[in-house]
Amino acid sequence: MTDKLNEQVSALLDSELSDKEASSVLAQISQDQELRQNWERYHIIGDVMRGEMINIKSGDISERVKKQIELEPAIIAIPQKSKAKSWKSNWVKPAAGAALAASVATVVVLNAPGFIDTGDSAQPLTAENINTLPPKQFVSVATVNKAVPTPVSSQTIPGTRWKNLKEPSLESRLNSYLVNHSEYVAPGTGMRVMPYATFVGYDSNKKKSLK
Amino acid sequence: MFQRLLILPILICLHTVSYATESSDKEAYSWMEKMHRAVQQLNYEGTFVHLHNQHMESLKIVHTVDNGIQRERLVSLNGARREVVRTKGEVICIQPDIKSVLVGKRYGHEGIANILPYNPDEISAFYDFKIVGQERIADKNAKIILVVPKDENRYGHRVSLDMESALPLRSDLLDNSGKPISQIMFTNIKIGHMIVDNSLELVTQEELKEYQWKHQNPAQDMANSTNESKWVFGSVPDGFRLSVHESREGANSSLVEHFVFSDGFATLSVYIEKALEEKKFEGESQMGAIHAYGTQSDGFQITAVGEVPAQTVKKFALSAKLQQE
Repeated sequence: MTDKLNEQVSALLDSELSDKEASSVLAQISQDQELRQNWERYHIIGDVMRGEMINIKSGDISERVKKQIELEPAIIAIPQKSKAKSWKSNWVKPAAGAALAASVATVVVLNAPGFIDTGDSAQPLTAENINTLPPKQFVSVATVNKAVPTPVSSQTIPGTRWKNLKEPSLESRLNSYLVNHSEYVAPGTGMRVMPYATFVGYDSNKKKSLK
Repeated sequence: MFQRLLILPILICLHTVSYATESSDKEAYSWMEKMHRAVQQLNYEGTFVHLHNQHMESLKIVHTVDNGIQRERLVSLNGARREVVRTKGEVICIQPDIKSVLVGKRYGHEGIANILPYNPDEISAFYDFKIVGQERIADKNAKIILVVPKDENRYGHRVSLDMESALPLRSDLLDNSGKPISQIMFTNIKIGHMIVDNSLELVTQEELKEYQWKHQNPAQDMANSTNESKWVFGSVPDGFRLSVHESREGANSSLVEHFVFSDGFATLSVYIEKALEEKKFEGESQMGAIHAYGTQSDGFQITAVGEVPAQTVKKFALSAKLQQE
């Protein structure tokens, strides 16, 4: 590996490369183990200096970009508001078989537990894209984001899962709030395991949106 | 004389009834305490289903305790392959399909350890506890406990606890009308045996090296910091106490303060950060059982979020005030 390449890696991190140069460097990074480690090290240094989260990118970018292009926003069922009944009538009978109201966690999931998104990237961290598109998340601290020609940024998400919220960036904020919150939920009542359970079990309806 | 004779047994009866109710409540509460300890202190592994929003998922959980250190691992059994490992101060989420690992840092302790149940006398002001029956779950006999909120500031729970270990074999979150919002139920579980669980199921350590990693800044515990919050919370619903106060660097290097309030069962968070015009959030929002409320004050965005009814997050968000120096 040459010093020139290392310089380019460093320049890439500082957003000093053109899109074309950046793509070329990224391609080399994805091929070269040693370069990847340097990339990682530069990143860590940069992050420590900036006090940001660490983002490390490796692997096949083109594959991810392809996935992103193929992504369709999932359609989400809107929870039905249940009519208030007396507690007692519901309590006495077992809950199994009762209609389940919409829950929480479907969204929580996606954001993968525990992260306040410290990057203020233009691409929102939303229910629709976080699970299927995390690459973008990780690829991006601003610099890389610019470098990779992702068509994703033009993707629009119709509405959000949070009631009364139209802004994906707001939703993303609320999601990360919620995920961090779930860390402090009392054990045993189910609520604690739920966000993680949903993250882990997150699944089929999402799959359908990937062709 | 005749009247007296009649009254006496009635009095005795009444006394017995009231005594029985009280002792049943106490017994129900002590079961909840046992559960609280059991989920943290016991070794167990099993499979459970999670029902929410008419979706059903099946997951495996492995919980081990080694020298007092808990480790909990969740693995998806259907749909996308996912694995989450929680250890002291760390949450690791592994997504093999997209080769990513996310690492969340906690500040050296487990958040939940801060949220201990109240003593029975205190908590009985906010919830009733009832043993309402028995059922068989995952081939085990379980006691069914209802946790009924006394006001509309919190949700209820219906949990079925293993008669031997007190582990929750089933757990339903109930809205204010008593309807289940989310349910978790074990289909099989092994309890208390030795589990060696150091490895991951879905990927090898070798594969992990090729994955992309994302780390989170560790939060700072503000409780032990001299950097005290300038925020005070005025009139908030009874029973909620500040359990955790931490801060973390957010967007644009601004500080996000995070307050966690709990009444022992219900928990909600209040986040406060510098207000940004494009991220203004005012009013209420909801996602299933989770409610959120946003407001702005003194140039700060205040957001309350938690699995509590709408009115509760609203009260908290509106009660936050910047202390005048």
